[in-house]
Amino acid sequence: MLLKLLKAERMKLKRSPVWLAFLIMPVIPALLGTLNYLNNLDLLKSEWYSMWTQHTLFTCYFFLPVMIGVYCAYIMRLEHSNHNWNKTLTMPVSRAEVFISKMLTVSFMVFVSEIWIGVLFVVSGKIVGIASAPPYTDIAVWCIFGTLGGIVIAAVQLFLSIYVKSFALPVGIAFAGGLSGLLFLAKNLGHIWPYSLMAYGMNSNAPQELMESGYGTFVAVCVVYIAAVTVMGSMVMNKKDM
Amino acid sequence: MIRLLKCEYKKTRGRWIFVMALVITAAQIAWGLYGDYDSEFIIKNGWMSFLYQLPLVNAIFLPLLSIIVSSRLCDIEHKGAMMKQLAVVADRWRIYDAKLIYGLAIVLFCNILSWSASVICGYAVGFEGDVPIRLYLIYLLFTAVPTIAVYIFQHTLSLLFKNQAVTFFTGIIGAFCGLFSMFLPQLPFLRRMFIWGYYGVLQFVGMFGWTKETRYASAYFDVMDFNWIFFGVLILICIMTYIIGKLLFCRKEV
Amino acid sequence: MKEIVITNGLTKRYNENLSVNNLDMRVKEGRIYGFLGPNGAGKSTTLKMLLDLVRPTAGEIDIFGKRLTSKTRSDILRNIGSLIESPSYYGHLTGAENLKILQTLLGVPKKNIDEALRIVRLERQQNKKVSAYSLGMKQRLGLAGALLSFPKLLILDEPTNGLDPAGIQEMRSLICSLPDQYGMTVIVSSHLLAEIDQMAEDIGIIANGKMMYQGPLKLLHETDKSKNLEEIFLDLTGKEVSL
Repeated sequence: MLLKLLKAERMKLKRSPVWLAFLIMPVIPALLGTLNYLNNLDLLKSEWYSMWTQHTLFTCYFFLPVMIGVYCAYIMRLEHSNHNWNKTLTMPVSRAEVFISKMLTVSFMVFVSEIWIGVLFVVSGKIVGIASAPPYTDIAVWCIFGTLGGIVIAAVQLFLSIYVKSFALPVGIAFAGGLSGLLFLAKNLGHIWPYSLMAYGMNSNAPQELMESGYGTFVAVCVVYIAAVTVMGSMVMNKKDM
Repeated sequence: MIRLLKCEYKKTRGRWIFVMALVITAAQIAWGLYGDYDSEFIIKNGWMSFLYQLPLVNAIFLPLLSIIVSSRLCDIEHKGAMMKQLAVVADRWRIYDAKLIYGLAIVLFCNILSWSASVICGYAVGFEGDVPIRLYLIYLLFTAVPTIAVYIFQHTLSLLFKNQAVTFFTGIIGAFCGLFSMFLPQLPFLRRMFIWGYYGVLQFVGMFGWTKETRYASAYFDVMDFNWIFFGVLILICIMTYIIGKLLFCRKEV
Repeated sequence: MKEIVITNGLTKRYNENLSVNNLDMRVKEGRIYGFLGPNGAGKSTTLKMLLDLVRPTAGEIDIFGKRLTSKTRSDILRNIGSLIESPSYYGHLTGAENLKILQTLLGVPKKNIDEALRIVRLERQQNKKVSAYSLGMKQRLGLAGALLSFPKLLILDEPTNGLDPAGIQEMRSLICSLPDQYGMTVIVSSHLLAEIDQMAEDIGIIANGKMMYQGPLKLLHETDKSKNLEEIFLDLTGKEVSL
């Protein structure tokens, strides 16, 4: 049943080029971050690792959380508007699955943008002519962990958007979330606060350091958050009068 | 017009727009002014350091505030398909103006609020000397005008597109470009290309003498040229955006 | 005759207001059940409870002989087609694409889309974006969505809303043909007595959340020979309600 729902979600997004934003957005840090890297070569000496910071710093604190917030609001709003809940929830599918299918749809988008960020990173490094080989393993880890952390944000935002029909409020919260993420990271609590997990996973602050908490803990924290919000979201959906 | 503005006020009651704007501004103030004020360097150069740092904070917060306020104001009409009703009872261009004035008032009020907060904070911390009032007034002007430009742009998008995701994504990507361009002072044309970059174009305090080795030891702030030419350009952009936006909106079929 | 929908003591309370009050509904298989009541009487809330869109405060619902619970809802909903309140649609998609989404979720053959489009006569507009549809076309698309699985039970809430007189006539004759042609049972709500009078065999009249009369329409005609149907209806729903 979930597969059918995912297919339906994909059809609903046809003709709305929202995904374009996720394609365009990472190009900006790739272009400007690389320029910035080139202009500060005397300060930034760790080649790939220095450039990674330039590419991802603003992305994972401010812009990607906000974009995820917009995307979640959009996906939920498709149902909020034009009485679509009436139809979606009278289909022979469980309400929890409706929530889960939406989460998977957003997660996929997060995943794609992380991959895209990784690809742009390697390409711009090559163009600039960084001599050493790109640290592929590290990049893969950053992108995968970034995806995991991003899904946590997506889950929270999607949950919010069950209640809030507008764009403004959830996006405001996503923005505040991103800021708070930075704050929690600064206080060394980045590994437990949902809005810091993406930045923490992508190691944009200090790419050379291994995670203090270890990979296992990070994955566990993400999974717990995702599971908890999914269960909550499903429960709320189940109870809600439409 | 007064009547339409009153209408706007009534429509937004219970929509928390003003509260939301205040919360974002509070975050901006907290974010911009939170810091370590212990060092002698900062106390001595406090007033100038604000003028150096705060444009960056403004470049993040004010565009976002503009997106959120404008979208929230315009979305009310899209949701209830009220535009049809409104377009019958009032002139199109008046609707455009009324909403613009109302939203701009909120955003500029927040702008002044955060500006005042920075002055108050400076005195509270005990920066050396009095606030250089002329510089601060110019700074306020140089913050407000880019914000007006961004707001007019967002306002137009919010009215033209029913799908508010368009507004949000355009605004966010724009703000992103603006923010990044501020880190590339070597490429001044870059920030002049985006309205969001004008917080940087109009920044007039620079820090000099900072090196990795000596750090703040020989660093100092200095007032650079005021970029009045590009201030004029920005005013022109505001007017153009306003005229084009209004024309597009008046021509749009509802 | 088998009763396909049975509710017992169905109640819905919003804050202090009893929107639906102790409703016992009986809908017979293969018939058209007219659900009549003034605006705000609780019709939509009742129909939404049948569809598990709104959870009752008290009471039970049995459909197709099964109690409606979170376990049975999918099985029950599979056999119900519905059009509630205003039609649901994704404005940025075409009519056909909207139906394609429903067809995927319902798991019915693709040819049902063409068939449904043919029945509501939207074949020619099927590739237009729904945001460009007129209200009547949206309403017909909504009906096509409800018919898509050729369900056993069809629940239509004010289906003639927004239709022009010709469209209303067409919708009526279409609804009347459904039981014979496809063996469907139809629940159709309206605030217009005349409309229900022309379609329904059985009727339930609701006012202020309470069932005022339920049974064959014919019997209602006979309750008081001195009054016409309208007067009887007004008696039942309360005089303050204007039609």
